[in-house]
Parts: sequence; structure tokens; C-alpha cells
Amino acid sequence: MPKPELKLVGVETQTSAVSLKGFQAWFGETCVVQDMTLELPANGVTCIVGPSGSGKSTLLRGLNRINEDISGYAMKGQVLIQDSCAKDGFKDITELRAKVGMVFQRPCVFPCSIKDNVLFGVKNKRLSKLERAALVEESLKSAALWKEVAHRLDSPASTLSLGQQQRLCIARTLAVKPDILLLDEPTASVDPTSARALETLIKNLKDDYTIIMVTHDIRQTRRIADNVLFLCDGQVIEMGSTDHMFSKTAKPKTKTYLSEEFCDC
Amino acid sequence: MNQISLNPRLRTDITFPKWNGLKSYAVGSALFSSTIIMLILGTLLIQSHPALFANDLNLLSEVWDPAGGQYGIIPMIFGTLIIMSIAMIIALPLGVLSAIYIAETRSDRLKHILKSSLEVLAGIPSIVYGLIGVAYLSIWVAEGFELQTGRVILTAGLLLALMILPTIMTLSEDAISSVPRAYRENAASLGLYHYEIIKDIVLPAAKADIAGAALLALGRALGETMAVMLVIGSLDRLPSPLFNVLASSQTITSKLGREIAESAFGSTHFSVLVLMSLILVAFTLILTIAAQKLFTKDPHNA
Amino acid sequence: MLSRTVKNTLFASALRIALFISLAILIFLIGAILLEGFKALSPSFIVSEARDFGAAGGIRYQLLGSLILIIVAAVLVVPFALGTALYRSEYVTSEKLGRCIDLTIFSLNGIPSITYGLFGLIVFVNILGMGVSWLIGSILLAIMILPTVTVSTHQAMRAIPNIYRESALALGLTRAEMVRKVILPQSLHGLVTGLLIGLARAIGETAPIMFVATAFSGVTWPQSIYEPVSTLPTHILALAQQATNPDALRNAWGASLSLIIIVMILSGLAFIARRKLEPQRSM
Ligand SMILES: Nc1ncnc2c1ncn2[C@@H]1O[C@H](COP(=O)(O)OP(=O)(O)OP(=O)(O)O)[C@@H](O)[C@H]1O
Ligand SMILES: [Mg+2]
Repeated sequence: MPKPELKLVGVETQTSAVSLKGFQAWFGETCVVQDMTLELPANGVTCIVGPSGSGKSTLLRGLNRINEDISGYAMKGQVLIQDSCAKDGFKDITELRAKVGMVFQRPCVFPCSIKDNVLFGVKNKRLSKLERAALVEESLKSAALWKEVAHRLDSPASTLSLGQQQRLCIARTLAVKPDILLLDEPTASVDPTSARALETLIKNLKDDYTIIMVTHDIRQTRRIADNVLFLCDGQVIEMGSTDHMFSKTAKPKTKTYLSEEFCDC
Repeated sequence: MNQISLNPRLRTDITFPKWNGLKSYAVGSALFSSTIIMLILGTLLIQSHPALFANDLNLLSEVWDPAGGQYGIIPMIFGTLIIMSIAMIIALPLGVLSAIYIAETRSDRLKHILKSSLEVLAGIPSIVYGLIGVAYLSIWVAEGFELQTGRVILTAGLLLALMILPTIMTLSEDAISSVPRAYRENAASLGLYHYEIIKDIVLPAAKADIAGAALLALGRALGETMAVMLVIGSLDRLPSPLFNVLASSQTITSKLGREIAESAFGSTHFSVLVLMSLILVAFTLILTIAAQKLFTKDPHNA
Repeated sequence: MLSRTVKNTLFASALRIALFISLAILIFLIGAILLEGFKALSPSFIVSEARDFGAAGGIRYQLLGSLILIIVAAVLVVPFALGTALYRSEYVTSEKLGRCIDLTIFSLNGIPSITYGLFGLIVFVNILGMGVSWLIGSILLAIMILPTVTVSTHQAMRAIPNIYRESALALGLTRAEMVRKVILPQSLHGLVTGLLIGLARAIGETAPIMFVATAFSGVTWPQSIYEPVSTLPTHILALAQQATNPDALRNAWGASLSLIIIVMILSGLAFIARRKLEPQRSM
């Protein structure tokens, strides 16, 4: 049964950063994301929420094709990133991934210095020393980490606190100059204070980047999201502006999930 | 723990049974097992004593001529080193590159088939490799280079490379596969090419284990006797020119394999052979212990 | 400077080429052994005696000799390996002593096999005056596989959760009873697996036994412990040295394949032993 295209409810139509046409994701024989057709607006924060196992990460990881290194994974349908097809619209897959940066749930710093971590994505590009230093400073500043680490750029990244490590991961991603940032539960493994710091950071970044993040924290969603996408069991239940989703929704499932964090589907 | 020590009756029960048969048996075997190595080293030392302290043997010369009282061991040491180097130069890059392919492939079937056949190969006795060397490799080398005999340094090096390839491949594959998936995913989402992911993060993270694998393989190559003995040509001379790999040669192990049975126990000849064995043991022990150290090192402390 | 894409493509091709070469080597080795081996292998080859220095006939006494060597080696190694592992796992209290024992055992593992032969020749044949005897071969093979068996047993013992020990002691068992009733049964799979892996390696060894325990031809069933046997690996060695004689070469391949089949059986049994005997722990 063909599905109607989901339009954002309650938002003026903007240019879309990501659009999916009949997107499906499979692990072996199981269909994890079912036939999804939607458009995500450019700029602003879109939060993907839904119960555990509903396919949020799989959807996110489909956008920069990072899932394709997993054996048994297959996708169908079309993913358009800024109107170019993710599959063949880019020169190669690294071009796509440079456009669509991703930060994972658990901070994963590489076993090298803070500076080298930031420069990891441009390590193989030809840049002068000066450019590199400028890039390190700029990225760390955008990730609100510069003040804390400016004096010890050469110490191992593993000596940072978990929250700092997560911001370093964001800085590292920003250094590649993406347009779209995918964040998979970026605050899930850090303490509440660091989580707040990260939220502020995300709010500051949303003017320059399209941010798509997965989160389990409904209150966090209310605080930082511009749009909310509610998934359950591999299907989009509803999508709309934060205001619409939290107060004007007509769908009972959305209501119960966003108020009681419970879903019976 | 706590519960046990809170209960006074039980506690007296477990206060260490003083001395019993089981414990003395365990202590005895442990003592025995750990002294065997001393026993072996001691025996070698005592038996090589005459060679070490006789001063007219010219041990460090290039001439081996027991009848003329010349016991130069340099040709054997050179032979050992050059054959080992050939084997490593071939097997290490080949093994590590193949291991990368196997570790990174998405096909579980290919992985499974390769890993099980590698295990089979690693279990093949060295004498069988020797037979392969005699029946195939030496003949191919002789024909390919139009030599009188195919029993030359190159053949031995190639054969040794075949023998250590499975070890290097399986161990490096384990090392590469155990690099956390998160490293790869994080590097990939920064827009790195596959080559760069391998070069910049996977290999650096796996390097200690790969080095351990290489050392283990090196130790095996160093101590390998039967296969090498059959294809080395057993010529106690330095090749001329020195790096002529198409000349026959001799390694420490092949020398021992050929001559131990012929030399009289207690003779100077015998003693020099024991000395060579001692040198070999020293080398392999250093390699094995170094490999062990590398393997047990925490991989995430790079 | 090559561009990044070119480097990436070159690297991908290098990987493919390396894998291709390795595969070719793999197929060549396995293919040669199987094809050449099956030309010689037959039931009569296994049960008949060797004639003409091995160029004719079969491998009956070589097979028996190899089996005697490893069976006796197994009997010799088990008590020491078990005791050492037990001591290492249940009685060693200081970390330092433990590491010391590990080191001596690992070192034993690193000694080249020809050195065991030399050691046996010096100590047993000459100093103790036993002459060439199959028993020396078994002793040397037992020493050689001692590390494998010990480490495997020790690993199995170390994997037993401490709660098992504590609850056994809490039930009022003495340390010795605890070892007998908990540790030994729970680590049996380690001992058996290690032993089988060790024997698979021991049966293929030539260098440790060739001067001290074997004779190349004319040997049958040993009448006493002071007699040599003939074994598969030493038989292959003798035949490989007459490689210009096609009959000898053919029999060498037959003996090799028989040897490898035994090795495979032992390794297969080790695999099964690990799966079947390993206790299922819910914790
Ligand atoms: N590598 C994989 N192989 C097989 N199935 C997988 C794999 N990864 C995820 N899945 C399955 O896909 C479904 C969706 O997983 P996904 O990780 O996208 O959920 P999620 O919504 O991110 O959950 P959470 O909130 O717990 O992170 C789950 O049923 C999961 O079991
Ligand atoms: Mg997830």
C-alpha cells in the first residue's frame, strides 16, 4: 500500500536537507525500517524519538551509509541528501560522509593526542601547518571545548572526561566541515552537567548545521528540538514541529509516548 | 566472602588445611615443570663448555673443517639469518595484507572457509612441508633459474615463508578483527577512505598484536629444522657473492640435524654443535618472551 | 604525490592480490598433499610392512611406532601438567611466583624442537646410557607438549568463577575436597583439549626423536623399552631423502597424508572435547 508523503505539520515548508523515498532497512530477513517517505528540513534540530529497538539508529546510520559495512544489512528506496542521491549522487562514499558527519552514542576518541583527534578527518588532506592550527582552534571553539583544552592539545585524548570526549568527537566531526550532523544519543553516556553543556552546544550549532539527533530523553527533546520525528516499530507514527507534537497532536500514541514515555505498539 | 567470614563455624572449617597429599603433589609437579627448562639450559651449557673455552677453534671464522680443527660457525649463522629474512620479507606483507582482507570482508562464508583451512595448514607437520620442498619447490627453483640443484637459500626461504604464512595470517587476522568496530565507524564517518581507516587507525591499534605474531613466526622460522634441512643443500660455506640466494648454504638447525648423529659424544665437534644449539635457544627464547610481552600488553594503551 | 582515491584503489588491489596469492598457496599445499597422498593411500598400504627401505610396502610399524610414542607421552605428561596447573591456579598466592612459573613454561614452549633431541641425546642416551630407545622419544615429546597441556588446563581452572570455590568451602569441604569435587571436574575439558592439541603436534615431530628413539628401517614391534621404533615422520624423512626414486616419493606422500589425517583426527577430537566437556555455567 503506497503511503502518502509525510509533510511537516505546523511548519512552513523549508528547503529539505534530507529526504527519504520509500526507504527500507533490512538486517538479514528482518525489516527494521519500513517503507519510509519523508522530508527533514534544513537547519534546526530534528529529534528522532521512539522506544528502544524501533529503528532510530538504523535510520540515522542509513543517512551516511555507515551501516553498509555490517554484514547482512541491506537497504531499499532512496535517500536524498540536499537533493543528491546518497547512493550515487556523490563522487564517492567519503564525500557523502564528509557532508553528513556523525557522532555516536559512546564517545570514541582515537588513541592519540587531542590535536590529532581533531585533525583526524583531514589528516590525509594537504593543509599547511598554519591552516591545521587554525582548524583545531576553530573546531574546538565551535564545540565549546577550546577553553578547557587549549593548554594541553598534545596530551592523550583518553585523559579527557567522558563529556569532554563527546565534545571532542563533535569537534572532530566539525573539522571536516559537514552540512548535516547526525547525533546518536549524544548525551546518553555522559553525566547530567555535561549533558546540559552538550545541549547548549547543540542549540548554538543549529544555525549553521542541520542537526538530526536520536534521543531517549523527552524533556531534552522539548528543550532543544525544533521538529520531532516519532518512530515506533520501524514506522513513522508522526512528525511535526515540537510545539505541534507536544501540545497539538491528535494521535493518542504520540500523546502517550511524549507524556508518559510509553508505547504499546 | 563476607558471608563466610561472618559465620564462625564455617570459618574454622576453611582455615587452610595444613598439609596434604594433594598439595604436595601440586607443588611437586610445578617444581618439576619449572626446573625442566633449567635442566635443558644447564645441560647445553655444560656440554658446550669445552667449545667455549678452547681458544684455538676459530669459532668466529668462516671455515668449517672439523678434520683440520677449524670450527667457524659464521656460515651457519649467516645462513640462518638470510633464510629467516627471506621468509619474513615474503610472508609478513603477504600475511598481513591477506589478513586485512579477511578481517574486513563482509562475506562470512569466505572468512569461515579461509580460517578453517588456515588452521588445517598450521597443523601440518614440518616434515611434510619438507617433502613439498623436495618434490616441488626445489625442482621449480632449479628449473626456473637453470641451476644444477634446487637445494639453495632461495628455496629454503620460500619454503619457510609458506610454513609461517598461516601463523602470521591467523594471528594478524585475530588482531585486526579485535580492533573495536567503533574506531572504524568513527573514522569512516569522518570521510576517510578504506585505505586511510586501515592505515590511520586499524593498524596502529592492532600493531602490538601483529608484532607479536611476527615475532612468534620468526621464532618458529628460527627453530625450524626438518623442512629447511631437506632443501638447504647443506654447504658449510658463505655464499659468494655474499647475497647470492641461489647458492647452497647451511643453517644452525640443519647443521644440527645433519651432524649430531655423526659426531662423537664428548668430542670438540659435538661440543661446538651444542654451542650452536645454545645460541639458537637464546635467540628463540628472547623472541618468544618478547612476543608474549607484546600479546599481553593492554591494546588500548597505544 | 598520489591522490587519495588513487592510493585507496591501489591499496584495494594490493589486498586482492595478496589474498589471491595466499589462496593460491593454500590451494596448492592442500591440493598437492591430497592428490599425491591419495595416489599411495590404500587399506593395504596402512597394514603392510615397509619393504625396500620404504619404497615398497606400507607403513604398518611406522604407524604403530608413532602411536606408541604419543600414547606413552600422553600418560607421562598428564600428571605433571595437571599438578602444575593446579598449583598455579589454586595454591600460588604471590603474583610474582605465578609469573615466574608462567615464564618458565612459556620458555619451554619456545625451545626449538631439535634442541629437545640434542638434550635427549646427551642426557638419556649418553649420560644415563639408555641407548636409542622409544621411551626417550615419549619422554621428550611429553616435555615438549607440557606447556600446551598445562596452559590449557590452567585456563580452564582460571575460568571457574570464584563463587564456586567459596560456596564449596562454605559447605564445609576442605580445600582438597573442593579441588577434587569442584576444580577437577570443572576443568577437565581444558586438560583433554590441551592434551589432544599437544598430541596432534607431537605426532608430527621429527627433530626431537630422530637421534634418540627411532631407526629408519627393519624395526617392528619393540620388545622392551630399550629398543627404537620407526615412526611416520622419520619414515617420511628417510623417503624424502631418496626423492629421486618415484616409488619412495609416492610412499612418502602416502605416509604424509596418513600422518595429516591422524593430526586432523586429534584436532577434531580436541574441538569436540572443548564443546562437549565444557561445563555450561549460567553465571
Ligand atoms: N547489526 C545488526 N544485526 C541485526 N539486527 C540488528 C543490527 N543492528 C540493529 N538490529 C536490529 O534492528 C532493530 C532496530 O535497531 P536500532 O539500533 O535501530 O534501534 P534503536 O531504535 O536505535 O534502539 P535504541 O534506542 O535501543 O538504541 C532492532 O530490533 C535490532 O535488534
Ligand atoms: Mg540506537
